[in-house]
Amino acid sequence: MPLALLKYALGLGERRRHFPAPQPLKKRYDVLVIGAGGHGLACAYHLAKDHAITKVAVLDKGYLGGGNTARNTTIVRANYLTEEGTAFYKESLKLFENLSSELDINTMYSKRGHLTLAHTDAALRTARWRAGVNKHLGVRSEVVGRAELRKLCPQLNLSCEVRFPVLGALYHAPGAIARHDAVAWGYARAAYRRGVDILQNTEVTGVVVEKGRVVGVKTSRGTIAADKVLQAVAGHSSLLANKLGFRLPIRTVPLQACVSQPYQPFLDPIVVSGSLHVYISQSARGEFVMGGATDPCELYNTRSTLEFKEQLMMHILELFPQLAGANLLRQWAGLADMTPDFSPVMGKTPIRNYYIDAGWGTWGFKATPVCGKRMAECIATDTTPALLKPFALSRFENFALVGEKGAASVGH
Amino acid sequence: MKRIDHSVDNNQRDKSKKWGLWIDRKRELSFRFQGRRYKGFEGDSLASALAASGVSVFSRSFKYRRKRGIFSLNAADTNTLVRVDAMPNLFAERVSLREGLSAQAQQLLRFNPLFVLNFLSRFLPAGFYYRSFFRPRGAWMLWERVFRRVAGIGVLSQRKVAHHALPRYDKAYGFFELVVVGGGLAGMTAATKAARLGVRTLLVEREQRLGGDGFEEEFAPSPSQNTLSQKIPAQKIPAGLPAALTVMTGAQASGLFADRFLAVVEEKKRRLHKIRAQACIVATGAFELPAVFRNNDLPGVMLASAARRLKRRYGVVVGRKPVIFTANAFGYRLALDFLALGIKPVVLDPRPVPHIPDALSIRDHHIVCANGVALIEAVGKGRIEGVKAKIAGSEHVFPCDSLCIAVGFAPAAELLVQGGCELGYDATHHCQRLQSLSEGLHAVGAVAGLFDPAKVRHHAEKTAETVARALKSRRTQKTEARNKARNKPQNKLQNKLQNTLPAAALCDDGAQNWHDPVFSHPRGKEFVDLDEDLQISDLHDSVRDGYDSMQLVKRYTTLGMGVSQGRHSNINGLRIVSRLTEEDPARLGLSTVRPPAAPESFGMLAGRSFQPLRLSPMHRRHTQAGAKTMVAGAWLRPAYYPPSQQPSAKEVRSIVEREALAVRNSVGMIDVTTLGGIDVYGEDAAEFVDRLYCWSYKKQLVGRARYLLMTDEAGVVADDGVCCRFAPDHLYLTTTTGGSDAVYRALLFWRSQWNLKVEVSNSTAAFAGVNVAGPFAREMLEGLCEGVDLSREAFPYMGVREGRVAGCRARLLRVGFVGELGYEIHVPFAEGEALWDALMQHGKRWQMIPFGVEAQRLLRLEKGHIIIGQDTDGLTLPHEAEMGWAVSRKKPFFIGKRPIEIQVERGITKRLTGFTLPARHRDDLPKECNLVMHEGAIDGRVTSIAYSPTLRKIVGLAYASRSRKTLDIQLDSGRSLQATIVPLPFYDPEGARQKI
Repeated sequence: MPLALLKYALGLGERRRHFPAPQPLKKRYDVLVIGAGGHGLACAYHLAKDHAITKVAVLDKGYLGGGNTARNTTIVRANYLTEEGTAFYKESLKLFENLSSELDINTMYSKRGHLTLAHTDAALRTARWRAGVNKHLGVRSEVVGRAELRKLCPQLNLSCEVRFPVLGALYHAPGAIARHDAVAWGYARAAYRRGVDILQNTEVTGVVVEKGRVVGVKTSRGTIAADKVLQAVAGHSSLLANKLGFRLPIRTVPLQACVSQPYQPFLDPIVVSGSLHVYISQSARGEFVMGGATDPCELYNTRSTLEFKEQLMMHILELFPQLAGANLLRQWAGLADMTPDFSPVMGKTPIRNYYIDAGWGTWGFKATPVCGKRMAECIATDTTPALLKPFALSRFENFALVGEKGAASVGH
Repeated sequence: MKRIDHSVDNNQRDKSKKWGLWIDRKRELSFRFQGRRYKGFEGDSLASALAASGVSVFSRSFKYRRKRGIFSLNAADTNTLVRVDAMPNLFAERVSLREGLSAQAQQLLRFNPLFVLNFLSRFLPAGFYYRSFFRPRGAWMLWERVFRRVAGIGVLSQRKVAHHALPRYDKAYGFFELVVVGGGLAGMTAATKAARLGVRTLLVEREQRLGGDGFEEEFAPSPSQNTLSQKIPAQKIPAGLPAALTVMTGAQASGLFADRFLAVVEEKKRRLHKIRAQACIVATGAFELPAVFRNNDLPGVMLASAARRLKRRYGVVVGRKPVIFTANAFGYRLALDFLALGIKPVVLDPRPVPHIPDALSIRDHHIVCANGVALIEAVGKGRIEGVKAKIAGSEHVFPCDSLCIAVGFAPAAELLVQGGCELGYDATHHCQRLQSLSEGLHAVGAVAGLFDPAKVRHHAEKTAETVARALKSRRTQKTEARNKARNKPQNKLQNKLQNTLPAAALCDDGAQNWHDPVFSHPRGKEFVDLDEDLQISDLHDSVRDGYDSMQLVKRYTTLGMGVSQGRHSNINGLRIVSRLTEEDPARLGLSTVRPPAAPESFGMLAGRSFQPLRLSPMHRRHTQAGAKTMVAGAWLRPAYYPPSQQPSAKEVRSIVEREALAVRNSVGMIDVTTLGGIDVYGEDAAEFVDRLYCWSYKKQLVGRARYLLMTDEAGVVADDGVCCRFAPDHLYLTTTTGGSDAVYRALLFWRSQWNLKVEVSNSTAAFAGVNVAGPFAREMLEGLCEGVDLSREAFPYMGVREGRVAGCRARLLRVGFVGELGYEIHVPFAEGEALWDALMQHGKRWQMIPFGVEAQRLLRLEKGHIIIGQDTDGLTLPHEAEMGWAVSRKKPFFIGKRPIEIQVERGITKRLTGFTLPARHRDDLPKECNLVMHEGAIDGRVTSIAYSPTLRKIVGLAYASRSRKTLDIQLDSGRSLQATIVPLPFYDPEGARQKI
């Protein structure tokens, strides 16, 4: 029996709330973070820990970790296509590996290995490209053929009777899954212990800007003054930016996912197919966590559709016919802020002291630790860290895009 | 549990045949559970047959591995999940019994070593797995294996199944004016009424029979309902019922999506019905709520509704010595049921004073009935043996063999909530209640808070009338609108929504939810959620740790995350959290209801795999010639034509080289049907194309072709092809195989934006095409062409003509993708095979052979022609791909012009470069997408590479940033290879061969 549980059962050790109880609004903070998702909370934590800025509050219109943090499919990987992307996610992977001890919570970080299946020679070419870039930057990725694939994932249907037989795959051994809630709660608790305030059910209704410089935010519970403000509201980024008068090159589309009933261990690796628009992994609870392509039209609504499930299951059964009798438990949707180059937007904005963390499309959860850490650095020092420079908002004016479409899990 | 009849020891039936309405006692079935043989009757469910045979333990619980038996008998808890044949996680109450059925429990039932966890629960508080198991680093990977083994419920076969061997699932589409979900009293009443009023109605019932939840013994069914429930029609209308009514039994509505789009699962037929309804009446009834007390999960403890279902449907009586814990009339009625069978139950009522009507109902029977009862615990080993309760300050023990709970109901409003209706908590009646209905959705019966049969019937009829009226007026409006549509813009259909919800005052207290059926015990094991084995203390921990909103409680404790999605646990969880946080339950709210409302199997959702495969009309010929095919977008194309079945890699190379050499030295033919074709007609056709593509087309002469290069709004290369001008107002565009749909879509989009006088038509599927290429192409074709002069002067390079080839009407394009004299011949699709045959026959004299995509790729590479998507990527500008020549600088506009101009001005840093390698590297060729390095940094990548048999060396294309003499290519092995940079094209730089 692990020690922590023994201590807990005997009533030893700390027994305080992980997050603050609702409290009256304070007048001012050094830094306000809009959005208490993984990213916002991680940033607040690193502001307090790395930069000793503790007069920080994280605001959220709902409960903490309730937006896309709660809706993603928890895949962590660094097998990107560009050097900028790979380097960025590589640091994220490194931080993730140590996250449980750092936050003193089991994030259930489980390295399962990540397979991106190729059904066409074009997909194989992209896989080889990614493998080359990854290896160059010290990230373990390799192109594997059908024989190796059979060993890595014996359950996979490699027969040629299906419409798009599997030709090979990109195998990314460090690919992992983690418990999304634990990541958000871990950051929230660690930040709270360092003096950060977390204000749930406090909706930001506007941002106060004076002379091109942000001075505070208006909330549903009153106005709060602040020296610096970070927006980390995936799914609503452009709406908030519009309020401040600057435009983001983002289209917001729903991204649906679903989960099966729990089953005994069946599948170890994470299996992704871009051509079939499928990704599937099995959680520690035994549930299959699955997702597909984003919805085709822009929409600020998290409704579910039947078509999504039908398409997804059709393809999943091509890969794993054994799952025909498995049952779906629940489906849901999140909002994905898609940028033209499939890379995020981080750093400064046209408004002074207003920072942005947006454009997280379908790749936000895996960047939680690195984004928090580097955004905190960006805010604390008011200089953009080298790792974030390629992802600046200004890249869209400068034609310096970071093209990651080839590394997106599924079609869009 | 026993059947009501005493005549046979194991199958005891009610002689009066009053109970057991669903079973056919004449037809006995035998089945197996855990390897043991049991008997049941036709009409039994697996659960009821097991119950009748005295089996009380069905499973072991999720976390503590406690014994579990029938609890809700309504798929609202996971206690009855079993594996039937190879199918895991099936609710035993939803499995119809059949002869020879073989079912297993999903965990070790008799002795389960993990039962030890039951005694360690103190060490396993809510979210215990978050607190530990992660030190030292990586430890979780080992612990996870243990967790995964313990946590998963169902066992899936690891054995591989062929995709084609899967059971056949299919889909059906339905369109109805009205769909009524739920065939209980309310649903039957509403459906028959609406159908009588002429509304085309579908009634969906998830059980095999109509009748619903079985309180109908209290009312006399009207004749029409009688017919309905007795005939058990499945999708056919029995005599005496309105013709407008369709009834579907054994069909579960599992999802209600936007605009009343229903997913209905018909498990028996393995069919998913997708039904669109103009209006939907939901009559899904209510879930009975459990009480929370120590050991409330012991087999033998169950909801009163489960006991009633067992008795009424299957003739099974749950015990000889029952205790009923109840705070409402349903519990008292259950007591009367027992009394009618000569069984004397003990009635325990938590209400401090007797409720007069309830007390009066059992007054004459002289049974034990106590008020002000607080439950302490259920006692028993493996199944219930007694109930310990506190009455007026003193403890009493009531020995029993079953305990039935009746403390209230929650509306089964999942479908309605999915459809956007609001469900709120009514603090005065301690129940959930519908607050509003979305357009076109209606609720009747218990889901709307009505339990009294008379009220239910009345309200259901009224609702049906309202719906019928609304639909009728809609129909009239539609007709009127259609008539007016010619002249006037169509009026939006006004369909005033009439509220059909019963007023809260009308909702009877039949539900009579007891406000606090939660009895905590110092030693715990009071289960709030049976699926997830959650005790009161787990919710306590959660709130104390700060997870105090229902969403966070759900995520932290997993309340309601089990297979039953909290159907039995959400309300009690809410009550407990509300008490702990002193927050109003109405404000706390519940977690979102999401589809599906009942489990849907993957196979059911997938249906038949529908992924159309496009084949050219010559495909049969390719197959006959033994072609190896490859996927190209939606098409299959011949990759090469091997003479033997399984050629080795080396043989493949020589086959491809042989095909390529044939084109270079004599003549070859390739099927190019898959290329997209789009006809653009109209006055502004040239202007339209001019705006869409990079080069200029306005002055393009009739009878000429011109290269097409399309960029997107960021200036990135998107597609290419050829533009042929057949007339001043008729252009024919070709696209790449994979890009045809996207290009067509873009054309339609911009046509609507720019409002030019132009019509666009996708003729990809209208034409079949071949490309005949090689020095003898002209000579060979001359004998087959009519009406076209093929001579060099009359039909020059990049010319287009119309005429007849081998008798087929044809468009001829003199283009040179492969770098030889060549003609693309496009003929009507249906004539493709005839054309192919004629050409093959005629070409024999010139030793013409068909060549595949592989040879074509090699030939075009020798010529330095790019393939969009292979030699370009998501960010490639035309100038980077050395296609700057195809970008007009004079035109005022084309899509992508500005970003291209700006970036060209700033300077293009990387370019597509040609390189060669000596032939000796043939066997260890660098691969496409191997990286090009420069001073230890990534500089670019190889996009195309092949051995050229014509040039006798390896040729390739690569992106590289600096102008150097050599390229440093990094191989898969990590080794690097120096390649020589050479100018493009590799073959025939003057282009003399395609112009002969």
